[in-house]
Amino acid sequence: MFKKFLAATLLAIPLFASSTDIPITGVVTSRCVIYTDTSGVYGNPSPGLLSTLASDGGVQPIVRYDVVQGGFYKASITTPTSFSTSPTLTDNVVWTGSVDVSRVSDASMSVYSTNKRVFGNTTEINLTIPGSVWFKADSSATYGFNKAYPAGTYTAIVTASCIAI
Amino acid sequence: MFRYVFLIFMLFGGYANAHQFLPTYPTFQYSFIEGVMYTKMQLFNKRKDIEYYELSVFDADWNPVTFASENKIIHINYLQTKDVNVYVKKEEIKKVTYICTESKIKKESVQNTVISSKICSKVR
Repeated sequence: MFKKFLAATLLAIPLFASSTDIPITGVVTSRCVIYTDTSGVYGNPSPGLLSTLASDGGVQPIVRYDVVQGGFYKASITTPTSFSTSPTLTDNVVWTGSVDVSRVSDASMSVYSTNKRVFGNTTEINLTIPGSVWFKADSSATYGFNKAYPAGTYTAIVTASCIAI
Repeated sequence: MFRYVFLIFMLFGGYANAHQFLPTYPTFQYSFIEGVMYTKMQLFNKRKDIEYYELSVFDADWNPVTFASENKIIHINYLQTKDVNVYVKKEEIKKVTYICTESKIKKESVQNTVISSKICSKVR
């Protein structure tokens, strides 16, 4: 009887000895992730105009920024000033572009619309609030003076940057 | 607390087109080559439409700084994470302010108005 009790005790000791606390740790670091939500499409509402506005038959490119902590990054979005692919053009193209907030995950991000800085064709916004924000870019290109674009495919590139500050 | 959990879930969740470059604030250390310092960066490609990223180093005024790396144009597959070593001469190290990666789009794969993503880390 005593032998059985001793054996059972000896077998049970390692079970107690092996039960330890398993810590779970997580580190939240500042990071910025850029998501390309929607690629844009130029609409051609008139012969000499290409535009991404929905009212012109286009699709606005949308980019999403995620930041885990606020105040560490700024978003910088540059709208195009040239075509990356197009047929040969013999006249000037006048470019206009703008960037605005499309959606936010936190209502306080609405300040991004008023706090943006615009210079040239670049818009900068300090990402001061953690969460996700979607920016939509608008781009239009007018060809010459009352001229029609030659037939072909036209593409341009929007650059979305996330720069540590 | 919920906000952080939501964000972490979102960052690692199943989204299709993302570009990530870490750490935010890299620090340089001595390399195995005398007079050369290096820092290790990590690039994550979650953009299905992108296979190449260009690595670049700039000073505070966005002038390019001479650097070396295994590849300046990095080939990285979808959902792949790659460690990238950036080597800079010790005498140039004080100039280094930004280390950036920018997505490069193949000409033949451009169909719409595409978005090029660029992320810059800052050396403090």
